[in-house]
Amino acid sequence: MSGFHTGSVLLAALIAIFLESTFTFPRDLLGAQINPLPPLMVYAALRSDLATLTLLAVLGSLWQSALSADPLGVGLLPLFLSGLFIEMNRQQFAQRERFVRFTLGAAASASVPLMTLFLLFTLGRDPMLNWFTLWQWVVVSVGGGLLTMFFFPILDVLKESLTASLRPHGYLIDPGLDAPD
Amino acid sequence: MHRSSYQIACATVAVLTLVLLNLPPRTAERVKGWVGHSFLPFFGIKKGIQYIGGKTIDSTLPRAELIRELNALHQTNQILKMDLARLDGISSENARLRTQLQMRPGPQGYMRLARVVGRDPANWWRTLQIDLGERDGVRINQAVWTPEGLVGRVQQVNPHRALVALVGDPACRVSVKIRETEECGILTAAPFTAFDPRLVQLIHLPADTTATPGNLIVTSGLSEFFPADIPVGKIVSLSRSRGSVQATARVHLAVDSARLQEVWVMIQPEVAQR
Repeated sequence: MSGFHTGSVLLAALIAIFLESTFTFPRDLLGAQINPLPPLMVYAALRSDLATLTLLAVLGSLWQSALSADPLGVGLLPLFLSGLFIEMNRQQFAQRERFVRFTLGAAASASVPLMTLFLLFTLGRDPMLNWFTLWQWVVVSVGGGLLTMFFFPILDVLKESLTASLRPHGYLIDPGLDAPD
Repeated sequence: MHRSSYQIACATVAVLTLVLLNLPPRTAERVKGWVGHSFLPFFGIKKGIQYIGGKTIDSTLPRAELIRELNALHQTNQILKMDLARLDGISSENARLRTQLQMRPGPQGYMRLARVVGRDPANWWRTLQIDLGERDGVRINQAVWTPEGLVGRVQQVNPHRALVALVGDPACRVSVKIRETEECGILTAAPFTAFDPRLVQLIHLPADTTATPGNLIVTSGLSEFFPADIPVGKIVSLSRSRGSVQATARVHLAVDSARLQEVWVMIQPEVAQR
């Protein structure tokens, strides 16, 4: 797998986390902020290799906790587990189907906060939870599914453009070179 | 994919998770600060865009409007100077009386304006990032507020930025009093279904409280971090359980944290003297 592709996925994660922190439109409108990392993990699990998946989980969780009151790296294990599950079963998913992408994104976005909350409680933290959290969970899950559908075409185009030079370009060979005198 | 690749990846993640979650708090904060440097270019771009936007708006404002605002500000400045001179006398009298009564001096410092640069990505915390950090004199537990009321306290500090826990976050419990009745309580996160994030809970009120909805909540001054009499919010409703020795109240916060662009941080005097 191209290093450029890994780099583009990580850069997308960095930008997405920054936007998540600075643009609070979903939170102001729906009361919950959508986490872009689970959709990116779904993309990495279906389109990249294990190294990219692991790097995204490690760096993504570190970047996210750097802007949050969360303990450092608390999202690492939940992100990695959700990505790993999809990566190990990726032959069973119809990757071109939008509904499949949406479902996987929504499932990952629903499971990551649950696992993170479990870890937070295990660590003795006291996150804000009430009935409104259920609404936030639904918003995060559906929003994550939609975000997954949004990430796939963009990152696919980026991947294609970065790996295009690796393809054989027979048509670029000057036909005049082999032409008889 | 080789089976060993999965084993290596799983082992790496497991070890990293264990190491990161068991770091001492101070080290974890430092690592957060280092990792947070990755966002510096983006924060710089955002600041640049805001600066250009502000300049553009400034340049389009008519001169007559600016002169009118300047005159109004001159008048406000004069009124505030007179108020300040009067309060200086009261302040020195207060300090003298505190000394005579051997009371602990209240929190002191000077105010510094900070810009809000981000909010917590997690939905279970209520914090925001400001563009002042340790190098600007910001320290943990310093009070943060606006002219409308109390915003919260500094929870984490990096060299260039700080994380502020907002009132209503589990990490920001505030000792407050009801101005009309002088009864004290603790402001905490709302355990009830709060679709409005400005609703928080006031606990440890006396069961026979005479407070009523609409009463003003201010900081009590009992905390060593928050000065007294900063507005916090208003009581929306009260609830008393039969047989209980305490009452609780729902409070509507004075500050809408979702719309905050700038806040004031109270810098410690020893840092201010440097």
